[in-house]
Amino acid sequence: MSNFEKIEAYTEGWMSGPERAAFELELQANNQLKQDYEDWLKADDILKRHIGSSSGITDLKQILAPLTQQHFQKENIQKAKVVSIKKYLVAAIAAAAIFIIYLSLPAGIEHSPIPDMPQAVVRGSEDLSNKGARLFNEGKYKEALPLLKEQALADAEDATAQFFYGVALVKTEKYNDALAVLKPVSEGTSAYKEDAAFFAALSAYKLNRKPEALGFAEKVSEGSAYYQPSQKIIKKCR
Amino acid sequence: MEEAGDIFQESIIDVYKLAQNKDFTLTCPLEAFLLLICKRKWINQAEKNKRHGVTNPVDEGYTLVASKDDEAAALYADTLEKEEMVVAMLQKISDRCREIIIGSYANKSQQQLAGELGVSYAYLRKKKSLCMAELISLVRNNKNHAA
Repeated sequence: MSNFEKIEAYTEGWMSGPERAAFELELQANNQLKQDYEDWLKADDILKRHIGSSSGITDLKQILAPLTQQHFQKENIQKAKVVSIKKYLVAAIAAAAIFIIYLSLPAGIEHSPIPDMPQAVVRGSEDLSNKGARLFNEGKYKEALPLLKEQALADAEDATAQFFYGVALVKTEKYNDALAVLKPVSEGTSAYKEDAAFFAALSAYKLNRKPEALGFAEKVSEGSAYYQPSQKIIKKCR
Repeated sequence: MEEAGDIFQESIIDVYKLAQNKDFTLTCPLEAFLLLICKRKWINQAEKNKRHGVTNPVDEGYTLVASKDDEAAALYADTLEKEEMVVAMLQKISDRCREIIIGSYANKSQQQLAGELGVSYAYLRKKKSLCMAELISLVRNNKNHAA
């Protein structure tokens, strides 16, 4: 198996526990593998943002198109004249301000805040739990995924493990799998019930299953941190 | 003017892509960063079109940007250019590999993609890792040449 085949199997969570452990050991000892792994993660992150976020880019283009037309429309170009660029700078800054609002509001519901996963919530391996939680909290969802999966599979009653595994699935855009994990949590009695309902709503929305998304989003009460984005989903689904 | 509008729009989209990275924090004013990206894109476009006369002091009109901010903005702009180089390298790999990589990152499940490409899931998995290796190798070579 080549380095890159191993890396893909590792990052996609296709390795068994012993295979993962062996890979991690080799990663520490083999400099070429380490370099390949780092380059893979970098390329993966870039491709995800430049290719994977195409729906967000389409939304952004729709916002920008009329603004661009308004501020950069063709003027009397028959006459050659000197134009101060500062005049357009004002328009550019105005459009940039709209862009900041677009990012901060957040126009993409997927930018909703992600809670930190508590560490040392262990049943079984403390290392596994802590490493998964650490990677999750660092935003390395793809790497955290196999560890969180193992943890969730180890105890179906552990709502914390189920919830954070579900969120990691959402963040890696595995919406079908995320729904399957988050639905039972949203129907349970744990503290994650409403948070899980929001992420389940987001997954269903991403899969264009609007009635289902609506059902989950309506479970999120006003006191929840996810009330506003849930309302946004409700508006989009109605 | 239309060209300026296109460049401005492309630049905002580039900033958006960069901001998708959870670790990304902008430490300089947005306008400094945005103007620098626009400026670089403008120069690249001008060079492409082999226009003369615009490569001289293009900084004129950008005096709002303080030099310290400009340095920070340049670092972000460099990062963005490196990322764009990785995406550009997709055009240099084989058609099949390009199809597999783009499909893999376009919100499709691997099973769905395998079905669309008419290959088995196992083949797709193996081929994807080979394609990523091809892409990474091109990126490395390009960096070495640029260095």
